[in-house]
Amino acid sequence: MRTIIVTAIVGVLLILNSCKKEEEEVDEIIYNPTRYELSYLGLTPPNIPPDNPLTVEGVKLGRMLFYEKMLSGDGSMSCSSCHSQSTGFSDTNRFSIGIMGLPGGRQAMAITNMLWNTNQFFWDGRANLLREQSLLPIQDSLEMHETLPNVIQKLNNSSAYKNQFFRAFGSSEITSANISLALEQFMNSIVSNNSKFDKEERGEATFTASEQRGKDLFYTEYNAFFPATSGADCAHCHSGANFENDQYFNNGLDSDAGMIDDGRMKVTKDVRDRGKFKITSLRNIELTSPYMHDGRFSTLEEVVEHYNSGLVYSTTIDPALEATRNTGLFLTSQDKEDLVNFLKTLTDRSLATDKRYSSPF
Amino acid sequence: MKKYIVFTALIITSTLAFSQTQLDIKINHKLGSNAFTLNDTCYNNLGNKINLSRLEYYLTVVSVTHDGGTITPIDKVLLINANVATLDSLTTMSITNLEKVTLAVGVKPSLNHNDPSLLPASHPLAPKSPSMHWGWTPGYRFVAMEGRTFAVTPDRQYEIHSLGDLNYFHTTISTAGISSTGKKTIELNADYLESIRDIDLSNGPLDHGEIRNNKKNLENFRDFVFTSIEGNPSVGLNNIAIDNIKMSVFPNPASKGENVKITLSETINDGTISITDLKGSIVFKTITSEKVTEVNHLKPGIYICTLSKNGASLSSRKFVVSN
Amino acid sequence: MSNFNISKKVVATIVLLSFFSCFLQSKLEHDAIEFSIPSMVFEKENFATNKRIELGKKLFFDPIFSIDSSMSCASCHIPEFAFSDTQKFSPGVFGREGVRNTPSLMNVGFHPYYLREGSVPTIEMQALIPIQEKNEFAHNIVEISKKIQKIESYVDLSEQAYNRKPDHYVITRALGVFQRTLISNSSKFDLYLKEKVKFTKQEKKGMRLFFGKAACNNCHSGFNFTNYKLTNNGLYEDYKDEGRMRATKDSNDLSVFKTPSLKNIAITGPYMHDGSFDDLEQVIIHYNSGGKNHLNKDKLIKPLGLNKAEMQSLISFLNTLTDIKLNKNLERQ
Repeated sequence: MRTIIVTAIVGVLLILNSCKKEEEEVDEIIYNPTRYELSYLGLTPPNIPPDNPLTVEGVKLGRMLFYEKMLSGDGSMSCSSCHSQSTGFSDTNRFSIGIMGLPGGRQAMAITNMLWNTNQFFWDGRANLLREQSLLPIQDSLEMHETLPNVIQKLNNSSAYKNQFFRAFGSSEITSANISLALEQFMNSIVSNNSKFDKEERGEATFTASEQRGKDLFYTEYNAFFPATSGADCAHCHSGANFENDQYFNNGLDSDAGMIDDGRMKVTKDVRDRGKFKITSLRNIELTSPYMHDGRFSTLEEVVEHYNSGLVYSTTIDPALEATRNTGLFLTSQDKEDLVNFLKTLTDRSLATDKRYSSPF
Repeated sequence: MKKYIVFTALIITSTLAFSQTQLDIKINHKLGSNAFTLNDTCYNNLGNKINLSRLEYYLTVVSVTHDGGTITPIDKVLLINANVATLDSLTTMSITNLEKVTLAVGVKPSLNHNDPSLLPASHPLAPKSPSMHWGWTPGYRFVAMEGRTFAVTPDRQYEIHSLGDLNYFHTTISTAGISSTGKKTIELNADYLESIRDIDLSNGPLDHGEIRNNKKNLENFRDFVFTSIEGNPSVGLNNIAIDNIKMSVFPNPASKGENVKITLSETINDGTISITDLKGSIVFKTITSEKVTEVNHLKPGIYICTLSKNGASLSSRKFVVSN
Repeated sequence: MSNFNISKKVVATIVLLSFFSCFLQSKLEHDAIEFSIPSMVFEKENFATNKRIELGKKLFFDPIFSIDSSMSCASCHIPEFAFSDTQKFSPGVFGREGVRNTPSLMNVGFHPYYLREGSVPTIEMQALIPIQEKNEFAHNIVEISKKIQKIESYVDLSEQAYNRKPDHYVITRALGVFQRTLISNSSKFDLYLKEKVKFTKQEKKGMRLFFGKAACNNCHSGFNFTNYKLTNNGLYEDYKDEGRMRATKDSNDLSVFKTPSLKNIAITGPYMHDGSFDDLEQVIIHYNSGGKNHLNKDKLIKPLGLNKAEMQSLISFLNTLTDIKLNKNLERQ
């Protein structure tokens, strides 16, 4: 008798199970995260946060959320509205406009190669981890202007999201922590290593004479005593495979009196940090105009000219720049053209169209 | 004991009395050889027949040179009305032999742009009626000179209101002054006909500002108006000798990275050499008493090198640094 | 002690302002707060009191300032029009024509310098200029003080406010204090910031254009819709007015003028330093065209490519900058 009952129950379960299997044959909801294979040929091995390794499921969820307009107060914006793939995940507007129609105070930063970012996030570094950063624009009244409980409630109405959360984290309960981890995974998955510069490094492309001259100027140091051979000295700050050094510097944009934005000082409350901003990566710099924290320059020529002749003294100006301020960088118009041509070799055209990073909807 | 103290006190007071002298300034206002009288008809060197219904100006007593070349700053600004006898006390100081006095007509740049309404009414730089302040620059009228010109019929009003930091000139007059007990008086003659030397008033100009007739007017004040009672002339610091100073820039054009040598034909005390680019930003500035100044590492471009002293430009040269 | 009784109104204003300034910050930190109104900083020694504001206001509306007692400050800075004038050039005494369009005085205390050429450093000093200009009051502050000192009510008020008779100091300071209280923060836009009102579709579209495609906020930025910079906006190839060069004698400053605030812009026409545009449509057509070529034209002035509908939306947005409490406040005062 007992055997019969057990068999019956097992049978029923099997039938039920098989029915269910038939219903959701295409996409089984199981928690079995798969490692996301990150390709970073030519770059140094990344520092993937050990508590949030990249998984195929997590990256997919992050990508859904990145393009999800439900994250904004009126359903009109997603992260991608200001971090647009076609422009190196940045915004061509000087100041991005939020859902209220009001602009923010700084230029949207490009999101590429975040895994090689070794310090904080935002221009002033007020978020320590990318996951902390990811939730702030959602709640900022000048940006997406939505509360996290509202976001969670809206996402909970979607079974697709509930399922994807389960696949990524083993629980269909949507929490702000999981939202931020997923967004972090997706942003960390965006790698740019296929520019002409990278190809040249790999021996797949050759620089033009002008690009090569520009590269030489980029890496040559400034030398006041030998102006004829003095370089543009860019690499001290924009160094390494990611063309940045993850520090905060004042690059001589404004005088003490003319400085509107205190930058890093807003976070550290230290006057020595006034007017200092995070040094940004130069990858895809051609696509990510306008430039500087306030987007004041619209072309690379203007940026180069700023360093060549437009530095303005202030008490916190970077000493290395200050040393060049009186004489300028001695760049001729040809030098400047070459430098810009070199910077354009950092453009990764494939990134702008890479299906892995485009909208999943 | 008591006697002794009294004696010591007496010595101290008498020493003080001897060493501290009251320094006054007296100005004899004149029109040519006559004493200044309001509305008197007179002629300038161009033969313009005019009168003066108002003549007020700021006089800054910059410093006195005394007792073997010691320069003591005075830095006192007086509002002079030519129609009122001028006898003002400047300071008390230790002085035996007066040698020179340095003056400037106008208000020095660091005071010139302050808010006049913060000063008590009695202060020379407080608001005045008629006004000695110039609104929108803002700054003071160094000289306000008004009257009628009779060169045309009917006669016409003319006004010369001269101002401007660039027209603030120092001028030095040698004088021993007049001594009396505990007092020394700098006595100067001021001939205001000289202030309109070479200024054509025949058409009744209304010149308010810092260029042309107004600049000329202040240069005249610097060079010709004041003499000491001994008859010594005033020697403007921006005088003929300095005006003739030549400045050369070599090489011109200079190539990128090459040293640019700026050479003056004479030495000048504390002259300012400044180099500006065409945008007007100063790329180099130095105060020097040397004949030769070298500048290096200028970026390619066109520059203007200016020699100036006390805000007055003496000479300028354009030069090029080529690629 | 009653002399220095700080007005309740002033305290209320300051409290209100600091509240507004906190508002946008909420709990989160922005990338630079742009639209919060800071609290007014009064001149040292010349803080606001009830009596000082009262005195300044009385003076502001008193024709005693002009040589022929025909006009007061308010003759050209008309309160109903956000303290600006509706004419191209305001005539001065004896019908003498002015040379520049009268600017609005709302939020004027926040300006870092005064006049269209930005040559005067404080609002207190600015008072001396219209008094003396031949085509404005053609008067003299020393003479005005003498006249005012003969009026008992003024002497009493001045003693209460500043503990001295109404002299040049008292007149310029009291006018300064009064003008610093002219604060505009109740426009539809301000209420929208506080999410108390909704914008129409057109207004919202206009706002997006203002901050986006048209990028008006490159110059008209911040809570007062100006960065106070001195620039040339390409109005003419050949200007009659030399602008800031009048003060600096520097050719880089030729026909360069201070960026005006856009608060209350709908009611402060005509526009530009010379009042050459009668309405906002003309202004926007000018900017849309990219302006004329002038040596000193700012590089930000370039063709905007707005169509007619977009220009209309922009105007709708500009209309939201008008203070709806302006006239109410005036009645209360």
